[in-house]
Amino acid sequence: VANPDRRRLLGIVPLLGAVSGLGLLRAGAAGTAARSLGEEEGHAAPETVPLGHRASDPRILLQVPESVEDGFFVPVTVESRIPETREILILVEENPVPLAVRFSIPAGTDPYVATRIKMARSGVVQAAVKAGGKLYSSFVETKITVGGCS
Amino acid sequence: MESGFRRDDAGELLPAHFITTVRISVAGRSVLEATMSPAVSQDPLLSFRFRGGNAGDRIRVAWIDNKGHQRADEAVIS
Repeated sequence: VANPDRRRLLGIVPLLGAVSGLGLLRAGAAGTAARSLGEEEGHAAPETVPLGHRASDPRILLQVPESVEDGFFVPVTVESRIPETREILILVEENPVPLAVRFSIPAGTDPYVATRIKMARSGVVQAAVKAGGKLYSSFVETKITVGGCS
Repeated sequence: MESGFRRDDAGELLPAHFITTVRISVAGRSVLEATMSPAVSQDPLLSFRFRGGNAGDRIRVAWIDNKGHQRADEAVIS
């Protein structure tokens, strides 16, 4: 029986290859790929970011409090020191929709954003930066006292 | 706003209602675009920095939600 998530993901692969030329989809990617916002909303240009807690890129400064009482308001600040940063994405793997928000950063705008997101439970916040057609990520763990989903 | 993951008292899922796109421009030049999921907080307090803003420039903030509603507001840099 075809798994709809998997089918959807396979649809993304050729586009990803064409756009980034990166090996973003690794083994088992069906389970680790973020569902894209574009897909959820039926917009064009779906994209996938590999999830999972890995080594952080020291050029991406990701600030999230160590512990947050209210999962409805988790403050997140991202600042990229990677040249040609054009996108900043904030993801939470444990959330029902991992990709929380994507920012397009035109020339003339600093690669810096701060906002507040919801987290269903304790877990890892990932900041992904797209620069020069490549993706880089940083990760921070945070503890949530009361989840922000229900 | 509604995430689409909450249920009412009868156990039915409440339909999602949230802002999907925010576009901010200054003097007609795009300075930030955000594509949002329901995981953005209700009052997200969005901060960013751009270069080249001058007193008298108009800042325009436009949003669209998942139901197709949209609105734009402007302010002048003083």
